[in-house]
Amino acid sequence: MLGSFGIAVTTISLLLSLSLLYLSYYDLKLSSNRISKKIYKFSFLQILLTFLSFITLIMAYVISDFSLINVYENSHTTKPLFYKISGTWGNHEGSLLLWINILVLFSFLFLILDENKNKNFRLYTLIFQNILISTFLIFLLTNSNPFSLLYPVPTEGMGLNPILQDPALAIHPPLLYVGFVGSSIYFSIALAALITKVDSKSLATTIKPWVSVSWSFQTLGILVGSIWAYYELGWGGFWFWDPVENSSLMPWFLMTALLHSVLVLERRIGLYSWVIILSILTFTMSVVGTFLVRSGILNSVHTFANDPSRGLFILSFLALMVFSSIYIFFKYAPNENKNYKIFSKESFILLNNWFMIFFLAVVLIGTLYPVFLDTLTGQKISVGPPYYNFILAPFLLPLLFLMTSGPKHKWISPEKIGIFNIVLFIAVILFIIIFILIKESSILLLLILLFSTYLITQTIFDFFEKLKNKSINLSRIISHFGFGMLIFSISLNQIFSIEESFNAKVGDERSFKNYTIKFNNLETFSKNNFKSAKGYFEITDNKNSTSQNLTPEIRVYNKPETITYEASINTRLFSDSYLTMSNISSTDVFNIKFQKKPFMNFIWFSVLLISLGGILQFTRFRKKI
Amino acid sequence: MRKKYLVLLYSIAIFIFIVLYLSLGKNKVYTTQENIGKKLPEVELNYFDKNGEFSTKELAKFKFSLLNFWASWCGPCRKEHKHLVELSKNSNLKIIGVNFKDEKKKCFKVFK
Repeated sequence: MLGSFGIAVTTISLLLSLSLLYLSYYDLKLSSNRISKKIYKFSFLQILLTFLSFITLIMAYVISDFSLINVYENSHTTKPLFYKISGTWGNHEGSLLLWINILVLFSFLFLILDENKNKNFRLYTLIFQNILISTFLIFLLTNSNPFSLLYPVPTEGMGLNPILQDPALAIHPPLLYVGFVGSSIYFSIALAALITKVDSKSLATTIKPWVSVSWSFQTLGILVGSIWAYYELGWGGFWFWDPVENSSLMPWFLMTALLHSVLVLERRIGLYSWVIILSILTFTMSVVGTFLVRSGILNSVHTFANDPSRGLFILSFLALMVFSSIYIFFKYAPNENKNYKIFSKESFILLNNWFMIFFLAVVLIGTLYPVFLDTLTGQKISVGPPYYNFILAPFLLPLLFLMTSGPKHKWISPEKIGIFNIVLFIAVILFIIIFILIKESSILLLLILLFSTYLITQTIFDFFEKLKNKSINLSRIISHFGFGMLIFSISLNQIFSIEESFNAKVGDERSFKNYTIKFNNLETFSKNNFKSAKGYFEITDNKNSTSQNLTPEIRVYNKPETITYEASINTRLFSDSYLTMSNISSTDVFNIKFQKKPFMNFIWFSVLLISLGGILQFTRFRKKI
Repeated sequence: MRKKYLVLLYSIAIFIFIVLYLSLGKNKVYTTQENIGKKLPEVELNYFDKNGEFSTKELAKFKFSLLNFWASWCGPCRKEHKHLVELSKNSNLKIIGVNFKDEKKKCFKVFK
């Protein structure tokens, strides 16, 4: 019942999108200055029906309607309600429907919020956006239909992968999708701007809020994914340079570059074509990410099941998108005068952009190189953290310096500002104190610490200046402060992390550095959907004479049958204690891994600050309107 | 000038898309099956209990060889040890243990 209803509603959504394409095209020829009422009505219906199709799928999950293959394959009656709902987007088909919902939401919001813009510009944007919506709806209905029916109807479902049954992972995809898919609107805007020759100020003011909002959500999505990986996957790290993580980071680099370039464009100093290229590239990179995750060409912890037909569809769509965007760009891009003064704010922003593009290139090559090598030569390799750390870390130094120095410069004016000032002096003093305290010998890490201290000190100074002088941009201060804090905390985390791995039986004791770990007890118990072996450990810090109890678990879930290793984490303000255990088959010996992870809270909090800056930028902009 | 860039960009894009297309049907799971019938690559390893280096050429002296990768931290390795000792009684077979990602001190402990 729900399945047929879902298919009907989604098909009508597709028809509405196709009608909107026709209506927008037809409206272009009319002489009126306003977009016809019909388009508004159709758009409203489109968003209503797309939402309805998504709610239908959620309902099917809530009532465990196993007549839908999608619900049968990814849900189970004993699953808690919260995870039944979040399970809706925990699979390829359901998450694709969420994708489409966000595409439609952004299309609708653009139509009703940007009313004061040029009519044809808005219509072309709608056309491009509806091409995207229609294509994805066709993909959904023909290849990845979440409403596909199953007969005879099974009485029980196969369940959701237990590692996905987690609050952080329930909100991770929607957050990331607002970022990813939100970039579609400025992709459409950029192409429409080229065709209708919209001026730079107008283009900048149109895309700026969309870039801020998608950037903030992308940042939050990445943060929540990292937190999940940290406590759920049991590796004790927060970023693994996994190809799928990289897929979310690549559009983020482009969004960051775009967020900054728009500021230049807004002041009519140039970068018109560059902003267009970045807007096109950001969404393209989001689709590339989707292709990599869903086609199964990568081996990763979170790729969906391998299905080449899906990959072929997305790849064809991607090719069409890339070739037509390049064509439109070359046909319509205006010639620009590039006249940037060195030491002006815009030249610093341009440099920041080049850094972002460099980071993007490094991550893109690292992600795709194994795929290319395997296809062209048959050789299988994996590119891991050493590659990324080796190439990216040194470039953080000039980037941190640019972030500190750039905002102090003025627009257009090539005024030189002395590098040596009171802020640098204080930063150096702080750094010397840190240097004495940490006794670190890696010069690169020390320099990164120095430059991040400089950025943090500078933004604190800027904040106090903001209190006196209201004109300073608070969103920039918060984001830059967050970034400085992030790099600072990651560096200290690298320096002070302790890791000890050993095998132990119940009753064993292990001493290393200042710690003693005692394996006190092992308890097994059964719950509704899993069996668990829980270890009781006492960790004594011999230096401070304190002790704490940690209880890692090994869980065996029955639907679907999966073993998970639940880390036990004791979070303190400055440091986390992290313990995992894994069994060695047919023995009573367990492999124990203890980690001391300093400044984890600071890492999470600084990413939150970075994202907050984007949200503030968005609200500031909306107030102006 | 623009046309030149357009052709260049299209060519790069076409190349990337062809490679991605070809990669779609490939099996991404690494299996040792593919190595059956292949020659052992030339490697040089230090002997554990005596000076000098071991070369794979030495294996030619035996009819069958078994290279077993092991470590002191590896549970399954401990379990299979007794089976390897049993197998080592066969004079046609040369068993070579390759110690992997381990500390020398801990390895000697295992031997005791």
